[in-house]
Amino acid sequence: MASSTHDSPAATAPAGSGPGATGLESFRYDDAIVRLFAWATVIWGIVAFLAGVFIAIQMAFPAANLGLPFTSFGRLRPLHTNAAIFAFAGNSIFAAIYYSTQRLCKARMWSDKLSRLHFWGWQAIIVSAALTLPLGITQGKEYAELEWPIDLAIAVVWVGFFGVNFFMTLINRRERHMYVALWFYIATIVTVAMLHVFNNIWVPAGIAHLIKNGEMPSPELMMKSYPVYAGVQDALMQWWYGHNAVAFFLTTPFLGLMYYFLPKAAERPVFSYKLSIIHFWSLVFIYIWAGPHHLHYTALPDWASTLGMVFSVMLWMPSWGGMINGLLTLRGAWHKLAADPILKFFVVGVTFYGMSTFEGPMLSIKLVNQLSHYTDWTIAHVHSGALGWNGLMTFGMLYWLMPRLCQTELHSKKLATLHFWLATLGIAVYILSIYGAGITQGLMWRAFDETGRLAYPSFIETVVVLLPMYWIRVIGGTMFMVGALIMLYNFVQTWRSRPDQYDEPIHQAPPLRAPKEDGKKHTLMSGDWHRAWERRPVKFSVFVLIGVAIGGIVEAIPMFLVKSNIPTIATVTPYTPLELAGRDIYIAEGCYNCHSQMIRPLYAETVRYGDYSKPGESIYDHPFQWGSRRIGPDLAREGVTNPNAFWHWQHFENPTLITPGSIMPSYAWMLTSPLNFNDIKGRVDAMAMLGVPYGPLVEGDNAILHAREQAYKVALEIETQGGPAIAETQETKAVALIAYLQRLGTDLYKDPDEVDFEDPFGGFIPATTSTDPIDPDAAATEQTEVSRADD
Amino acid sequence: MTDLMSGAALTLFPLIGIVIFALIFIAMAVRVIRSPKADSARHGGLPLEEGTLLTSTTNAPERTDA
Repeated sequence: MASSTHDSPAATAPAGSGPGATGLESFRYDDAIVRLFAWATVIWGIVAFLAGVFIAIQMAFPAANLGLPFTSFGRLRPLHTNAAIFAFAGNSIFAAIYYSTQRLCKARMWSDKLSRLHFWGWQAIIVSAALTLPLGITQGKEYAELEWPIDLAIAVVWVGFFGVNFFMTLINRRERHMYVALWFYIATIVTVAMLHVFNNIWVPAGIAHLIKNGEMPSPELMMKSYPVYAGVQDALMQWWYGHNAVAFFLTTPFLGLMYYFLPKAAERPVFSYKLSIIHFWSLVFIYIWAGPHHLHYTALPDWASTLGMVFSVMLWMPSWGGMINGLLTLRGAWHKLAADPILKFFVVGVTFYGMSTFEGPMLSIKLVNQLSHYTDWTIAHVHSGALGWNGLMTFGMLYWLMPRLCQTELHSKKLATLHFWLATLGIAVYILSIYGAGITQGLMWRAFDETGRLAYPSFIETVVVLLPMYWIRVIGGTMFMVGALIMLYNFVQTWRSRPDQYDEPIHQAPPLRAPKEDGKKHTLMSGDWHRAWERRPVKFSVFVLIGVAIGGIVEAIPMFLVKSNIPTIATVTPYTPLELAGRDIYIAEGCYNCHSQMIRPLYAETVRYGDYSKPGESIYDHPFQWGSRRIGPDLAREGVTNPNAFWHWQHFENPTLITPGSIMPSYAWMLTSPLNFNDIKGRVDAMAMLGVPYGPLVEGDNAILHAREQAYKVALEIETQGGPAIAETQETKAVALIAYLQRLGTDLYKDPDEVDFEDPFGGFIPATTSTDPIDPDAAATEQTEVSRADD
Repeated sequence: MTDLMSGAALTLFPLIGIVIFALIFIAMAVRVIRSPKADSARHGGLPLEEGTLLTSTTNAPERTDA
């Protein structure tokens, strides 16, 4: 593939310019691919910011979703995060990598075809995400929401196109030493591939259904998958992935960017190359361990979350080493800062890196985390990093790159400076208001009055107080977005003044020759062994992989193999088929974005929500649904504290009618959307393949019939409680979701003597052999059968 | 394997991690301390090099990209 495009002298330079008497080879850099990624960064960035502002408005004014399912907060929040991380930051790091790798290797990218396949493949993945997430097609794991076909595409594009092209370029480079920015890129490529693969091991429900029954599944079922991990183990894997997505997608490549573009912009070398080496290895080795700090006081075993906390605190040192190295690169050039908007972006970006990497370890300390977790404090922390570090570093790089890529002057330095101030002040307005919201809510949740009762027993009291801060956030986010629009205008104007034909300069460098053997023995104390790795990309990459794998292995293997981590509870049984369908609706609607299902063993939480959550309660949760934010109350014991079916029905229709001041959007459309009962069979089959003991429910249409019976019971309950007639409700998605909510947290309160753990469905025999909707007129005669299922 | 792992003290696993980290960190510190200054200076300046410019004569194909 590469033979026609890589930079052999014959392919890239005029005839006769190959290695001659001087021994130099000629080559051109491929800047066209950098231009594509740079433009994609700008465009997707604006999409991500627009989505962010839109859902920020919904937080303060839920009706802004226009009553449409596709535009509800739960579906669009993953779109916003995926667009910001994988579209905006993703294209940004690709632009940085393609530009700097070629220069640092003194070589064109190995294959132009792979470069283009990477670009168009990545954009296709982004478009797929933009189409599937609003449709509710999601795995329900934060930052890993994309369903299995897109997961496969990501693996192919990342490893097959990007990774191969990058490593072949390193192998064919003309500069002996691999500069430290390349180390960070290596760590990014290797580790993201590892994280993506291990966090996305699933069973596709549609494929399972096709194999077992020979029937073509519905498109909805075909896209559905369940992770092989459940509960505690899934939580560990997810946050091992989630935290390291921050580490190896939003940190290491941006550090590579910093180590290349900051010296370029400052026109002086990095402050301390030695410090950068310590920075790299410490960061890469420590970061991978820190994931469990996202799960403090949850059902995750304490040893794992403590380990995550210790390594998170240790992480502070290398992070600040890198920040200091970045800032001190400007030594002797601080006077340029006043006039140069690029340096302004870089300096404030690196400063935000320092702030975020101080705050991250602080938030990982358990006592701080007690207050901050599930509140907006985490959101403020994330945006300080994403907007301040990733955003400003990207903007700085783009303002440096675009004039060079367009081979002209930047249209307006004043507009760039205006963008800088709008972005910086916008971030400040955003994060300060949301810090205020987070700390306010955290304190209100744990406040007790003088009689020892919760000072704010109603959750809504802790929500309405935040609304002014939510509006201020909208202002901050809008400022940031307007800044990006100004940047777009500036770049379009710059592009319009490009030459008619882009110049493609020819460069020369000597070919890489085998290093001379100095005859010295390489000992541990000499340090020569590492200098040898620095010249060998494959060996270097293998050691990086070992370095990052150690943390994952030491945390994951005990979690999977040590029995005492997850004590089983005899009364915990699998979800019924209807509850499983309801759970899938809960995931599709993104309810986990606003509701946790994890009561921490803290007094204020057990008083508010009930008994704390146990590890054994979520052993059938593929995926776990513990959540990470409480925009609404925790639902872990919803089935115990609020099992009223009609209450939920009304609440879906009009949340503010039930809870005045609620910021939950209306889900009225769910009251009329029909539930696809036939899909339930495939869902149960897939779960059974994962080892969930469904017994006789996997035979024939038993799962469908069981679901219909339970739907009838829920519909009857709604009617009995004063709601619509059974015929209007029993076929709807809302009924399945209500069945799921009624189940939540109830297992602990079952009588162990009445639960047969081996056959929780009591050797289910269908009450009817018909798959038609149950006729309400025949309800009376069928009641006997339903009662039997109750028994 | 499960029985074997379950029999081990859980504190063993974090300790293994800390020991491995300490060894790697010490090795890196040694590498950094012992590396020649001239090497670091040259390596640190690599972003400022782009290869010798032979010519900037335009002989590229018609512009088709963005």
